[in-house]
Amino acid sequence: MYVAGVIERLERRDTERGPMFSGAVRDPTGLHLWSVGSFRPELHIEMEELVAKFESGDRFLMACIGKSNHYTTEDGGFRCRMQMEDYAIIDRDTYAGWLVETADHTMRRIDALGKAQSAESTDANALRDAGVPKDLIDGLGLAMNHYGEWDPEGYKVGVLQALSAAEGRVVSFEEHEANETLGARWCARQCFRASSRRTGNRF
Amino acid sequence: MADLRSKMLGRKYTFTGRAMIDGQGALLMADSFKSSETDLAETANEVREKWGVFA
Repeated sequence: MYVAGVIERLERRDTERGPMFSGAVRDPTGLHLWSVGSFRPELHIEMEELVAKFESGDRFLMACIGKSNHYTTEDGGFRCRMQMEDYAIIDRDTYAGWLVETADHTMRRIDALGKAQSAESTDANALRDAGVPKDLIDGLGLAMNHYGEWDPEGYKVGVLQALSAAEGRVVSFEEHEANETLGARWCARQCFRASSRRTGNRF
Repeated sequence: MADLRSKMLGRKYTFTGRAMIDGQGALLMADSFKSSETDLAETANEVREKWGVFA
C-alpha cells in the first residue's frame, strides 16, 4: 500500500528487539499509521533525523510504501497499520498529483460499489452483469459479504477535499489537513458508526 | 539510493519495455523511461467531469 500526507506523529521507542519508529500522516480522509521495525535497520538513521526534525516543530509532506498489518484491539476494534518499507519527503506538486490520482481511483471504486449494490446477488456473475469492472469483482464481492450495506458518502467528502486541495485552493497543506479533516472525520465517523451497527464491528 | 528515492518516489513516469511479474511484485525492464507530469488543475477538472463530483 501507498499513503501520503502531512506528518502528524513521529516517535522512537526502544524495544527488546531494538529501536522502533512509529508515526502517522494525515490526508483528506484521515490518519494513516505506520511503523518502522527492527527488520529495516537501513531506515533507522534517517528516521532518527526525521524525529529530530519533527520534534523541532517542522511539518512536512511524506509518502510511505509498505505492507498493511491488521490487528484487533482488546475492545474488539479493528485497526490497520502500515509496516513501512520505504518513504520519501515529497513536495506540494507530488502530493497534489497523488491526491488527484487517488480521487480518480476512489470514485471508480465508489461507482463500482453502486453497480454492485444494484446486482441481484454478490456472486461474480451477478456483479459482472451489473457492470462492475472485472478487476474489482472479487474484492467487492468479499467486501459486500463481510460488511453488508455500506454508504460511501464519507469517502466522497474526502475526494472533494482532495481535488480542492490539488487545485490549489489551499495556502498550506499542513493547515489544510489540520482544519478540513474535521469535516471528513465527522462524515467518516457517521459512516463507520452506521456500518458498525449493521456488522457488530466497532471502530 | 536515498537521493534517487527522494527524486522519484510519488512521481509519475511513463516507460516502455518489459515487465516480469511474480508473487513478489513487478520488475520493469525499461527501454525508455521519462517523467509524465501533467497539469494538475486540468487533471483535477477531468476527474470532476468524469465522475460528476463538484463542490
